[in-house]
Amino acid sequence: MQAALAATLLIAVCPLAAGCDTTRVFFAIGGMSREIGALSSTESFWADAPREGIETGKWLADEAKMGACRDGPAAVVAGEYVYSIGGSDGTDSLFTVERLKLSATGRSDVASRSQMTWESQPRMQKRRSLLGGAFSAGRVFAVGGFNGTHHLPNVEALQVGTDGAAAPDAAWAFVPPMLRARSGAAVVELDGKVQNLSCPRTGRLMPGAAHSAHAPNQHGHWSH
Amino acid sequence: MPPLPRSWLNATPPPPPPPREVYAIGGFDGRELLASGEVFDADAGAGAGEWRSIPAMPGADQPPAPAARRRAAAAAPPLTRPASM
Repeated sequence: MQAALAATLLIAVCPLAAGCDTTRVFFAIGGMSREIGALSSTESFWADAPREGIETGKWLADEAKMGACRDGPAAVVAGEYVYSIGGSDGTDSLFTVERLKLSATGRSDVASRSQMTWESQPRMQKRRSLLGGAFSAGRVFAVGGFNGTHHLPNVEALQVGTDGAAAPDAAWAFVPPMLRARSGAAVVELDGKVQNLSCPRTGRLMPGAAHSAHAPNQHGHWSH
Repeated sequence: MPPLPRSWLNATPPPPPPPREVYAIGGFDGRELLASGEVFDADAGAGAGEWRSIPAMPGADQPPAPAARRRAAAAAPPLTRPASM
């Protein structure tokens, strides 16, 4: 994998295609290179056993680059898509959002890889880098972050369909703000089980990323 | 109307589905690193719901070891990240 600081690492269990098998994949999305600055490239690592048409066990530089360089975006898997949300292009925090169809990633054949395209999605209302992201109850959440001046308590959500795609007229809407401003927070959805952990990696700020995590137990206490 | 089968009468209702929630844990508020966290009911309708505090992480108050501090300083990202981070 290309050396990058603060690539957003998304660990996900993903459908290869609608109604099809699932597999485990890591995405490194954007980030910061000392030589280049903010990155628009992404890489993926398919962790499961080899299967036809999928290259496993190594990092693959994805064919398509994002439309923007994104350092510290949020990355979220929603249905058949992975979303890259906000981040910083090295100068400004971004409100733009892009998505990539999961079934296009990891493929070794040229035809499939050439179909990889990041698609622009509705813009958030606020610029955000170092934000958290989650997909829960049919909504993609953009949580907190940093707008270049302030650390943000506010939260936005985008309604998506069961396939993870937003309707053409969909728009980000504010949900009630958090009690505290938070940038670089770990944000995770808990739908009875942990599905993924969105990690805008910020080194010392992060409590850490894991494929699974424990919520406070029934007594409201964290366990070590 | 025929009586309901006994198995129907004794059947326990299915448990409610687990809550769908979004957790935000830790981070930085512009002044300090946060050990606290919050949780949001994702099933709340548009514009509804509220974030609730969850207990703070107990280990977050421990200062990092000097070596970890040096590594973190060396890896501190430049440019548009907040200077206080």
